[in-house]
Amino acid sequence: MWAKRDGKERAAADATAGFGRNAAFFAALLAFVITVAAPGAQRTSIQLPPDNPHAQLKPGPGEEVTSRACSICHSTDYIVTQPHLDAQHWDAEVQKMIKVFGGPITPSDAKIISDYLARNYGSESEKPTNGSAAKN
Amino acid sequence: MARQGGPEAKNSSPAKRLDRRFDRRAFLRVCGMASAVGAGVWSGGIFGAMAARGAADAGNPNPLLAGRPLVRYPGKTDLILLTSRPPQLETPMEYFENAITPNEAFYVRYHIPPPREVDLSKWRLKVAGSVDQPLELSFDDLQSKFPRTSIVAVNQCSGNSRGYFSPRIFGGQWANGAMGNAEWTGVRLRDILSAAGVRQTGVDVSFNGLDGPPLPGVPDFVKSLSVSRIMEDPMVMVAYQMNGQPLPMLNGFPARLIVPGWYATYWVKNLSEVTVLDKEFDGFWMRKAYLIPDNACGCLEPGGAPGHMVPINRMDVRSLIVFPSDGAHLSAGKRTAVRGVAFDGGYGVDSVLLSTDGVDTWRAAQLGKDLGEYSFRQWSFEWTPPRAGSYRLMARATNRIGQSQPAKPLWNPAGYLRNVIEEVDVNVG
Repeated sequence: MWAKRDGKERAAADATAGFGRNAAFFAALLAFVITVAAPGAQRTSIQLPPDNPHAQLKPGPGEEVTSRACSICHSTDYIVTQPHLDAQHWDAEVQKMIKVFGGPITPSDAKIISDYLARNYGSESEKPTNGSAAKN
Repeated sequence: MARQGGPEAKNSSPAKRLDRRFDRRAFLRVCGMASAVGAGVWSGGIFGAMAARGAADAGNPNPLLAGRPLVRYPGKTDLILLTSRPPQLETPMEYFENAITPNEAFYVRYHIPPPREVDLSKWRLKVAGSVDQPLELSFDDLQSKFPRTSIVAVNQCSGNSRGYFSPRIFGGQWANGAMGNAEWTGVRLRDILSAAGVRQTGVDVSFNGLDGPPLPGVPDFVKSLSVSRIMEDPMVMVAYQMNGQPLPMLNGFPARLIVPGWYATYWVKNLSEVTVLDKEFDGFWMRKAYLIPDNACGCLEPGGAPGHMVPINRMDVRSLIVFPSDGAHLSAGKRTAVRGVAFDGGYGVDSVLLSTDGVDTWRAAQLGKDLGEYSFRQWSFEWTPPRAGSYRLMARATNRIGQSQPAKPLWNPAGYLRNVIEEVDVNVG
């Protein structure tokens, strides 16, 4: 039978791949699919590209902790594409990642992360816009 | 409507539906897939061109999509990158000019990392739990031991169009491209369950795939349907083909669950385990996630606090204007075919009405070929803009049981079920 990849191992591999390195990213868009027709085996495999380098977090206090913690499970485009909601929403999100998804984040790091997200991706960080509503 | 009661089956479709034969030649024409598939070789677009295309896409006129690069993942063509890991890739709207969405352009959404390798000689679909005869079906078993069936059905993410919610909501900020329409071929799930012999005590059936959590604490992505839902609906199936080809890995290779009419959260990809349970399934992705307010509209006052919630289920009726796109320039006095797609949760589209004046003046669009109740229904509306100026186009679909689309968006806490009448503004010069 196939072996489901061990969760920790995969997380470690993903986290390593996770820190955006533009050159590596573009070079590694050798995303491919192969079917190997070896005797008795019919393997189809894919190689996924590394994390989107354009989704790097904004620099500032807490960026390193945030990037490291969140990248264990997901690329940072899960953060930068979000709407700029307030600090309460961001804190609830960080708490969800810890309590619901078991993210290994200490309480002190959680505070650093929540503050960083609210400061850089929260409602206070929003620049005034023309108020053009998003539509199709 | 199933909404109040949570996941219940609508009365199963008549047998005649099973006999409906889809016109494969027509399908291949519209689909026009060039991907090299055959003789065990399954090859996706190999080299992506993100560096070049990403820059080009930064100018996307849709503010929600501006700056999102086009990327090419394994087995896929250039799609709009929402998130890279786990991958969420959106289908550009122009693909909906066709009734069938090509496999390589079909959107991708994973909650946890997808499988990176499948050895088809070792893959098994395990059927276990409250059954008389547990099964371990090989890929050949699926293809040879059960009657084969096909259906054209829309697969739409529960959160499709979440990016347009107001007030805004955390979650995947999709525009309208987290959907697609394909011909699915495989085996009726009830035939598989009958072969295993579901015991009288069976209540729910859970579905797990080869995708695996990134950390032990992350709930594995497992969904469920009730036994009665499956046994009463012959269209719930395990599909091993999509548009006549093997499924791309990122759309569920080698087999996925097909739940026509219901949101895609139930269509478990890379399916490996089907388990019959003697009690209601209480996993995270059924009891804590993918919930909607337990009322007729599945909605709340914007920003309102959730009360009693139930699992999301049947899709609401929608219509989308594919051409022209928002902000397009058209010529006065020149006839234009305004066109798009409409669909619902399986009752079938009855009509699509168009308004070109931004107010409540509606005229009927012409419906395209009927590919079945669960399919996209193409529509077209001949329109000659009378004079220069700005026009607001709106399309409103009604299904065969009279359900239609609201004029004002309905809101719910997770950003699901969007089906407001969409507006497209064009400039006529």
